[in-house]
Amino acid sequence: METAMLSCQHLQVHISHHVILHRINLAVQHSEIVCVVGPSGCGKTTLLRAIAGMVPVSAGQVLLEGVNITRTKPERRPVVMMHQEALLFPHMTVIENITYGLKLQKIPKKERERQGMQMLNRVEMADYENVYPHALSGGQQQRVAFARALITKPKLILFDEPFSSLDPLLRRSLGMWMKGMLKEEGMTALFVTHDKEEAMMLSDRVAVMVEGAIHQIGPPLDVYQRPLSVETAVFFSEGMLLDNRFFITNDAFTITADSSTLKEKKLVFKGHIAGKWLRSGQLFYHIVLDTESQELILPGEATFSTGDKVFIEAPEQAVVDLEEIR
Amino acid sequence: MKSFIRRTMKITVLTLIVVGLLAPFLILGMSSFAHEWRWPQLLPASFSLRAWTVVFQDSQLWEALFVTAVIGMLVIVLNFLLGLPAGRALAYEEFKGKSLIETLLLLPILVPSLAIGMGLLFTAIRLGMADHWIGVVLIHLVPTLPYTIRILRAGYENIGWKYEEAARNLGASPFTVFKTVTFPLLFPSIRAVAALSFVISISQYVLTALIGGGQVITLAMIYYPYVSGADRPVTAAFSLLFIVLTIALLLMFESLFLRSRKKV
Amino acid sequence: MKLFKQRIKPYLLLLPSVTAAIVFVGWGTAAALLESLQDWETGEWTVVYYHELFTNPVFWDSLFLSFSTALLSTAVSVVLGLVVTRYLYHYFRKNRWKLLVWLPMLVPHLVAAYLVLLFFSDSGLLSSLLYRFGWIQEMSEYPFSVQNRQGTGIILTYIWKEVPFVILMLLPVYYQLNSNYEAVIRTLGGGSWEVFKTAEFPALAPVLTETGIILFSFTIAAFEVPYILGVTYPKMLPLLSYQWYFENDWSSRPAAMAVMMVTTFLTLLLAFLAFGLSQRRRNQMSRGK
Repeated sequence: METAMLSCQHLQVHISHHVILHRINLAVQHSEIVCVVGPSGCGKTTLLRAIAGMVPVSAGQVLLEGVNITRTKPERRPVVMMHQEALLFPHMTVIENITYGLKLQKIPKKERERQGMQMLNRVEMADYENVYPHALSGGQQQRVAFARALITKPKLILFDEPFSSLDPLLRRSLGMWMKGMLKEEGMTALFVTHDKEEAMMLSDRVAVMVEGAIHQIGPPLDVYQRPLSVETAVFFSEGMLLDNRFFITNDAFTITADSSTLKEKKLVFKGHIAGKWLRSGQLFYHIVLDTESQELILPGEATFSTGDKVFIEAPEQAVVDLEEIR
Repeated sequence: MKSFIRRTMKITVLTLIVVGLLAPFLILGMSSFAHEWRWPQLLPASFSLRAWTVVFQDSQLWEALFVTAVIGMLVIVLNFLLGLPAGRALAYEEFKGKSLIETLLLLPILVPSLAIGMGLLFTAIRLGMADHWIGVVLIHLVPTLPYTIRILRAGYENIGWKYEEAARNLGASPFTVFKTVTFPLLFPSIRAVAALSFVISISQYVLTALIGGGQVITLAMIYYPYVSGADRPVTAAFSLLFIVLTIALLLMFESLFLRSRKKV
Repeated sequence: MKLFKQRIKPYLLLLPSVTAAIVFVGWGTAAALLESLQDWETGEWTVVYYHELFTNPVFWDSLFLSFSTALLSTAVSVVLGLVVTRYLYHYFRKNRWKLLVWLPMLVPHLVAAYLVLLFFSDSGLLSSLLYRFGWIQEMSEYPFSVQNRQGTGIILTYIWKEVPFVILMLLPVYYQLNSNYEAVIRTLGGGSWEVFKTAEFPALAPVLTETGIILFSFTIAAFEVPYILGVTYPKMLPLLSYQWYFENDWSSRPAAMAVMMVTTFLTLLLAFLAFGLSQRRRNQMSRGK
């Protein structure tokens, strides 16, 4: 088997006696995009900072192409990190920002500028060479920051919620654009986000992280449909949790108005419509269940009104026993 | 290993800072209770209240203490009257000539205050403000107001105008907004202004001597003869008076603030 | 009407303090300038006092002493304050540390000058300590006299007083600095010096300039500290001016004014140069192109 680009082995991080990362095992293959997704405060940013070398690791190791870099200084690691804010240097022009990493590598000015212009073209910002960052929009700034990271030809790029300060539409389109760029360059990337839709869109595999531990890694749709733990089910998947043990994903449910059409071998729950809206041409219903004190958001074909009593049903075989899997 | 060295260094530096900042106060305190303290004694041989008795028997002291405190408090009040609106305008408003005004407001601490004092002396005499505490209070605005405006501006910038707007929308009058929202939020800056202008005011020797013409006797006026004298314990006790006066003012200020909070 | 009110509001708010600044500084310096340019008896216009001043070695010695003292104490205070803030600003988030830094701010300059005497003068604590260690036998052998022609004591006083001032000026800048800049620079291959140069210094520069100018203007023209720690010759500029101002007859008054005018001119010149440079950098950034 080929050595993974990045491999974290039993990685542990303490910050003033609190365990932030708990024995993390994570491998990212060459040219793969992995998204670590988890609620805020789960330690995902710390994981990135540990891989970048910005926080001391208390146990375990970080390997890059099989080379142990656990004790290497951040500036010596072929790893760059991007953040929620673009963090361009306000006193430098766009081209100076982009070629900053090359300047640190002591590459001559002519060569720097040639590569910088090339990179500017790649990120479709060629007209902005001598502009100062504050004159750019949020999306443009993030593209320049991306170019600044890419130009140093790192082995791995780390992204810490890079789109979360942008508005929703731009967030999606910039995300897809960046994914395209990463794939074209054959770049290996590790994203961190709390937005699971973003994670599904961007990544080849997602890793669900809760309270400093990774609960499940796999292709996004697999993880969504077959959660292996309550935490993954609750955080990453969408559906109904029964007795803290059985789980039914939302795509197994249908909404009906009367119980006379109910068939055997189906699970049925009673509830009412609390609200409805349209998204991407599809009607969605917010349903409050009478018994389970749970709320579900389901797409529906038939038209219901707010307040209507409804039944939701799912085939019995759709029930996943989380304990059995474990 | 490396992190150990770094930590040791940090602790050493921190200790040095603490000692450098605190030792003077301890030595002053000890010295003021020394009976006598002469070269080359490292520590005083015996302690007594002699120095404090001498200081409080100084015929001018009580009056000087009173005059200094009153002038200092008036300087604080004037600083607030001028500084609060100015700091607010600079923090919240954009307008033509802002940078020119900023420069103008900084000028009193850029231009030597002695030049200003000497230049103003004749005018002050003509207006009858020389040799009088009013003139002294006014001239003390010169070395204090620029700091006040800077501190209050930063304070206003820190809290922003949104809380005030929220209070206005809830129906509070401008005065109530200031009392219930601005003042409590701005209090750290207000306290800093009070402390700084008071200390600067009580430290003024040359401006007070010039404009006060030797008629307005503050602590600084009667401090100099002691410093040049050889009686160390007495000078130490006198030095502490300045600090005690400032701390007393700050405590008074703090209790006023706490009481106003209780009423709200 | 409402719009008009809105537009003049900032000016109204600023009117009292700007008036105060103009009346005090404008009137004061104008009066002093006029007096330095008029014959003290006849009131005729003359530049003779400046001519005499510039040919008087006493003045040049004072100017040199004032300038070097101010420059040195400002530079040391700014650098020390910067280093302390850079490495310890995490601690200053806690109130007890901040309070500690405030302590020297609450001590008047004249008391600080006395503290320097207490610790470092010929009969001071350090001198006694050296005697205890047997390094000196007589008070006169004490090697670190601070009341000297170089103004060592004056410089020490200012450093003790002004380093906390520098720290308090710089702390807000460090708190506002996005700490992720460090990760950006380091992962792009820069060390801590690069972090300081690229992320911290540009943010600090305007405040450092302002602080430096304030300290320099203050130290070159302040009276109280050199009044305690200075020597009879050479005198710092303000003391020289004060002495001439109060000499028996009034014949030296114009010269005293002239001394302060030269000081004023020097500080303002330096201030405008420094502010100008820093403003140009800032304009460059905000112009966008």
